[in-house]
Amino acid sequence: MQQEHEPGGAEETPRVEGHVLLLLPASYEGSRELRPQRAPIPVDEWLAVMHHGRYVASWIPAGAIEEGPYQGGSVVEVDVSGDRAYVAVPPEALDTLAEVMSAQEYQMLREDVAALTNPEAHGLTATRLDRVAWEERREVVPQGAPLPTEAWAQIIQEQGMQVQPPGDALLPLDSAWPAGQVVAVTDGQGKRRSYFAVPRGAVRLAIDLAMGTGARPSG
Amino acid sequence: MVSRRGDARDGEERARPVRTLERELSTPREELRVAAATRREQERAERSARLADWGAEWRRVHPTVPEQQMLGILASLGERYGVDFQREYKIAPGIYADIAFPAQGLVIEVFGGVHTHDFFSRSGERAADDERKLHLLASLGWEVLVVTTAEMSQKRWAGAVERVGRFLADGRGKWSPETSRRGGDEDAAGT
Repeated sequence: MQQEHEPGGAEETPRVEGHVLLLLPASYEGSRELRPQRAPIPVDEWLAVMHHGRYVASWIPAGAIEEGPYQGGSVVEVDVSGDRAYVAVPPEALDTLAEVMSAQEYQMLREDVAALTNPEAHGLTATRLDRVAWEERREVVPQGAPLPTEAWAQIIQEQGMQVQPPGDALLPLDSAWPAGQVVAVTDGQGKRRSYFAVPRGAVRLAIDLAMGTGARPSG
Repeated sequence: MVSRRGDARDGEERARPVRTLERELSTPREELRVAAATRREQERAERSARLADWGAEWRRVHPTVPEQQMLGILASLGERYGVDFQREYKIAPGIYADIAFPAQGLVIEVFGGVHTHDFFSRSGERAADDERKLHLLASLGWEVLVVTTAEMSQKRWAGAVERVGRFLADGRGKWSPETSRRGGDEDAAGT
């Protein structure tokens, strides 16, 4: 078995070509750590179980794997009698997920994996929202033309604005930003606040901006 | 001999300041390297925590069937989501409770039936993972009730309602600000 280390991490994540990894759920949910529940499983064996049990694999936010031995792969969720199981699927086996996922979620997963190579979210846009509609009614009302994310990020950085880490503002799957986030941006003095709808592919960028500008989590 | 020893000593004496200088130079460099690595690790951990928050938010919006059953029980007991209890509540970095009553330090963890599926829990490691979470919650001062999906079957529904109701009543009866010793990360909780 090929053993590799997560960069900077103490834990070993076992990786075998063409095998998936069943993860310990609390570790994955808590910190996105890929800690194995047991030895890697051949993809065919896993798929047979999935088909036999009529299980469905589901897309999850931030499932695309950024680093480590499964880099470029994705974690999917499987509902097993009301418990969530998490499976890390390596890049070479992503195609097989089409057999056990809905077409929409498979497409989302593919987009998320592709977005890993586009950390600056080129080609995506952030959309300013009506502040009052969001703050008072949690209503998503776009205002003005969408802004390319590069320009959006540049303005934030140049003007020393603060981005609040995305949280508690998940956009629904049937919105124009499926599973995206509403992100709050405040000016340098923290007085003027704006809200932006950010597509899923730019949420990692928003997190980076939030960390870079030292914003603290919203309550 | 003496001369050679003398030369050797002289050499050592000459070499000493060089070694000291090297140490002086290397120490800050090493410290800088360690500091940079520590910072990278902290940033990595913070980023992971943000991504985990996103995941928790998704789970909050997409409860499992047993979680929905538990929400039904809580509703029947008059407990209000967002007021009395929270879902996927961030107790501390890296640990989310299925259902938490932050004001009283109470947690309800809902277990489905994964343990009956050999493939997904063959090694028992998953049960151990659950246990670790429960111990961690308890060590942070939270009182925990585990309710399984089997306990919420139609046949056993009334018993489950009674059990949850008793847990909440007992917890509220016992709780006071002075006795509370639980940890928490309420500022960061996506509530």
